[in-house]
Amino acid sequence: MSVANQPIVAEPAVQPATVLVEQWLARLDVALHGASQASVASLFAPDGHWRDLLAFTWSITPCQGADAIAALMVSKQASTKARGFAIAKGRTPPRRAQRAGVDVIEGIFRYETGIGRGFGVVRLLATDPTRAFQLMTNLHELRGFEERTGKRRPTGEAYSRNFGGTNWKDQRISSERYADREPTALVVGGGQAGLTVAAALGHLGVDTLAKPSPQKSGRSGAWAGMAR
Amino acid sequence: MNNMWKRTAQEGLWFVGGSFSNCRIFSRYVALQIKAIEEGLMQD
Repeated sequence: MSVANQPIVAEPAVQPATVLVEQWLARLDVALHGASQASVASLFAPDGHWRDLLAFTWSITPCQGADAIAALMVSKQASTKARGFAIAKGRTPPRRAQRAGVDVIEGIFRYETGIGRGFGVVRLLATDPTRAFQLMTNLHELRGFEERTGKRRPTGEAYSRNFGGTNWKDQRISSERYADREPTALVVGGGQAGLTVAAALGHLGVDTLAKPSPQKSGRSGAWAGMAR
Repeated sequence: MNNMWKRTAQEGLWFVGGSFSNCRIFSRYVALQIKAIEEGLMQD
């Protein structure tokens, strides 16, 4: 019998990845709203992992095991008020993938908390898409304190038409002097870690003074040569 | 490592460091924590 004559066997219906992730997110929303530990636990594989970046725990420590995750998540939900879980638009849509040797359905989602907005990644078991193998949740921004980038970037309008007054450089020099105030944050070290943290603080409007490490006086940090 | 990018036992003291990609990713979270503390948004 040639290959062409073999009967066509219908493939078992495979749910699209987007539908499976949407269903899981909807169940998470309901479980958290009801503060039901059992419902949350049923959303995770017994050996599932959860990495929360500030959103629920104000920490970055991972949590392992469905019951431990459910207990922690539900206990923090009262203050976190996570809601509105939905697939993140403009990000990679849900897809099938292999992660850590496990076949998963991976989806990037967004949600709201009481004080801000977050993103997350969920990896559902391909063998049981009602349960998450890995979950990451983050706090992306605080409502009302969004990063001053893009359209929120300071325009300089306030002084650009003020002829004879202080310009950007004058204001910068006077601000750096810290004559009339103390900085909120002091960053010690002008390498990649110090610079990125100082920049992130600046974007959030935290008054930050960045100083090169005292041990490296004469060379202001790892990137000094490039900045000059 | 246990004290990096998050609050430490010493209030107001933070440790950051690591690879460039690590710094790029986690600097946001340090800044968010400090901002939240300053604005009184951190609840625990």
